[in-house]
Amino acid sequence: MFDEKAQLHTLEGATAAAIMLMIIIYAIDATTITPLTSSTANVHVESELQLLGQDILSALDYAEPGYDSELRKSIVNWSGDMYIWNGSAYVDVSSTSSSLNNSLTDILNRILVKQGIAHNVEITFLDNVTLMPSSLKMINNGDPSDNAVIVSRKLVLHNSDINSSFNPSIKDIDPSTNLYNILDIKLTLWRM
Amino acid sequence: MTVDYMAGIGIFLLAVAFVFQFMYSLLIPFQSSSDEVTLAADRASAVLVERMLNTNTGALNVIDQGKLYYFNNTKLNYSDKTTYTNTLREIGLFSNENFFNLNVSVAYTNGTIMNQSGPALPDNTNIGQTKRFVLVANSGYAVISLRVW
Repeated sequence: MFDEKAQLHTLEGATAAAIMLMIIIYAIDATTITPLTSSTANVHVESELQLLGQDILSALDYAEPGYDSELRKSIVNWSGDMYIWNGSAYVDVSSTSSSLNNSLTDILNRILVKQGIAHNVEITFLDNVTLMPSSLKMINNGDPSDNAVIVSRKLVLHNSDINSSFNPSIKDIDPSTNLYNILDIKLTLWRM
Repeated sequence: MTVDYMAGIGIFLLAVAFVFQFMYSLLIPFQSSSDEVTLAADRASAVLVERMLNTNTGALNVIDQGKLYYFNNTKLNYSDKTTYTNTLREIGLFSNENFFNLNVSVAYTNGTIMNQSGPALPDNTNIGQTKRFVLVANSGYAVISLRVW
């Protein structure tokens, strides 16, 4: 009974336990280090998305004098339905046969979809009865993650901008003036 | 025998610990030293898109095609080192304190490369990249990629 083997077994046990512990620590650390983990790298991913979003909105909102910007055209010709990305096109949620095709979706498709960046487009406007902000979703790809970035751009609509196909839920905020409404176009970007 | 075993297992554990410690650094996606080039790329992109190539119409992301061609073909021509260095100085990538290299490529939104200039990218250094989405006046939308190292 009293020999050196007991000490050896104890040491063996301690060694095995140490190795197991190291593997567990390693596994936990390895799985949690991703570009989205809160760190300096994560801040960089977010600032990159913010820069990209601002770039898209401001480049689309540029217009030669006397012409409407592509962003304005895309919003004014929007019927008010919600669209989702089905893998090849932005299709209407209520009737999947109709899809949304304008300069905004063209750029979102070419820039964001290609890079695997999920995105929502939401329009916020003042309700003419309650005078409170009200929101409509134009493109909805689900709930954004915790690391989502929102960029927005204001768009002023005048009575002359409104045509018959314009979204009926956005009403004239003051019928006595030429101002129609002020829209806030919110683009939410996130990586999955 | 016990002493032999302890010495052996001690060395073995040290080796295992070293391997685990070494493997961490392999998995960290961004090394801390890459922060500086990334920030430099961000800064350079702001100067380039919002001032040097801008059409000066008040819109930030609208650039002039003539200025873009001039920048790519003449100002960032790596075969003319003096002009290249002066351009870097103007963008803020070259000073008495620091020196970066810059490679700029401009691609249309369908992926076709419009223009590429600057020295070739190195194989084994950290490269900071910033992409800017711009409207080239009278030409169409494009993505400018700046790579700084």
